[in-house]
Amino acid sequence: MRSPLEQARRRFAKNRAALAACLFLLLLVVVAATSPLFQGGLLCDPAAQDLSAALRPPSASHPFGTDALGRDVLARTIAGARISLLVGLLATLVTLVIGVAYGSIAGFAGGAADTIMMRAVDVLYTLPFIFFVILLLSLFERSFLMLFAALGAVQWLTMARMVRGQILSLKERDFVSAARAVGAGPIRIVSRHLLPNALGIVIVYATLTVPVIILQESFLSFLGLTVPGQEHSWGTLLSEAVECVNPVNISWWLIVFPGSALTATLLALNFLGDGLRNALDPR
Amino acid sequence: MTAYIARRVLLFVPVLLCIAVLSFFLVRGAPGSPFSSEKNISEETLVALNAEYGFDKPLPVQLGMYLRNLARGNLGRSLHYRDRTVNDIIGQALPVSVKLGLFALIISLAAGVPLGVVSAWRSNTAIDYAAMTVALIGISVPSFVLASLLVLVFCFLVPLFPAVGMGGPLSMVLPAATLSAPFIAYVSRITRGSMLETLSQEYIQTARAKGASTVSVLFTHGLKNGIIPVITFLGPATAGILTGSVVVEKIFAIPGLGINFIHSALHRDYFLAIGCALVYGALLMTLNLVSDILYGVVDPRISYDRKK
Repeated sequence: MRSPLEQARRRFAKNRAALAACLFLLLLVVVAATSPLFQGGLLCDPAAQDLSAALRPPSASHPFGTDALGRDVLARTIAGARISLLVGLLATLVTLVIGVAYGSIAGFAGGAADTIMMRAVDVLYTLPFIFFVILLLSLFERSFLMLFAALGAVQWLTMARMVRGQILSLKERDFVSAARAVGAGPIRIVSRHLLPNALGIVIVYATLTVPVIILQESFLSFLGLTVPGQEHSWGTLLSEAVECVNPVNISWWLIVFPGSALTATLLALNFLGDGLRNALDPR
Repeated sequence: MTAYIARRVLLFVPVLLCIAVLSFFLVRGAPGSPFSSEKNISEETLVALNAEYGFDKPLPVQLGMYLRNLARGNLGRSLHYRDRTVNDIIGQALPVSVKLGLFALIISLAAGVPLGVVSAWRSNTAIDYAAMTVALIGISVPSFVLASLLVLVFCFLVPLFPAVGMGGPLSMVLPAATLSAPFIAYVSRITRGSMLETLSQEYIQTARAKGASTVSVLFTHGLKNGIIPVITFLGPATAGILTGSVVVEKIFAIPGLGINFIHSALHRDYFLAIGCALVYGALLMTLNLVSDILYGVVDPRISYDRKK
């Protein structure tokens, strides 16, 4: 008899798409994390302009070509990966903390508290949040912190619902009664007995939240709602590309490379999430 | 049923109020003035302008004034286009967005449902895998990436369609295609899943046994049950199409609600921004209600009347 974790690992290892996605994401993380080390050597500085070499198609010195200001598109695309991964992971952490706390309190408390808390979530669900985020980012002074807060605040609702549902079904099980019988308090029951059992679902859902957040980050920067430090976001790269491409100047590399990078990342994250779901929660 | 609809419509009021109050404090709490961008504005004009729009009064009074007008269906006046009311601007923009959204929704269903049915019918064959791979890509390609690529290919490389504006029906093709792509994918995945389940049921075998044609078994017998999950998805789908249209309208310069919202937020056109958010909210809720009602119509097992 193998342990459940070992079984899950084996199921995951059989899923080639998820493994390939995993590999791609690892590569992306390594490249994004180490890219500043190569700047000036192998890689150009993403912000360095060279107007004499503007809008050059891909070549040996600029594998992804150059943009309207002569910046290296490869360097900018990699810089965009840093932004997307950072925002995606940090904002997911925000949704994780809020969603797990809210969901486990509602699920464990049950009764009227649960009803009120989940009704509030229902009401929040009906609000067109992305419009509030757009208003927030366009009217106030933008900062990275605000971006995380805004993106994380929108996405925690589903996490809260999932966690609450899990807690609700787990807390009626015998092992919880047993823990209670030996005198475990509510905090201990939730943190040591309930949450570890809900961990699989939480991990799967968190993995599937990352691409949603990355998509929203690039969506907002595409609309021009960037925060300082987001100059090379994939959304920004694409919106600049759309501005400068026209029938006379068909600089396809400006659209194709950042667009493929964004799409491949989203696709990989979705494959990884699906693979994890099949491995951890087989039904 | 009538009682159910009435209950749901009554729920619109607090949610819309919520949107109005939240966005009001968001826009009014933001630093800066809607008039500060204008050049050569004298102190007196500024005072007069602020007085004209009531911005010299305390915030709660302003909110009260706004809500009173809102109750009468008056969304206020635009701060950017001085001579126009928000009702007027939205009245012009909304039909454009609705037309685009409906077109996209029809494409999603017309392409997604048959794709899903065929995938389920030929499940675990090359056709199925190909269709589902394309669907997964369709879900993963962001709308603005797809739009940029479509413009690049079909407007510049092979100039078939106009790149911007709302000319003839041709100008709607690319925006609607962009908007519907992920929903074709979702609809086909949902249809496939539910059709797989439906086709394994006994009544389908009965239909086959009595000699009904494949087309009739799939579309008359099977789809009647298989379509139900698709109909529940219509609410979220239309919501997604609505929000997606913000980006698509921006790329293709379509004078719809989304582009007005973005511009109003960037230009601090307070009342237009709140008005757009409210209209979006009302649309979303109405569409969810419509899809819930449709759900009850196609699946008689579902009853919305409270048990006695």
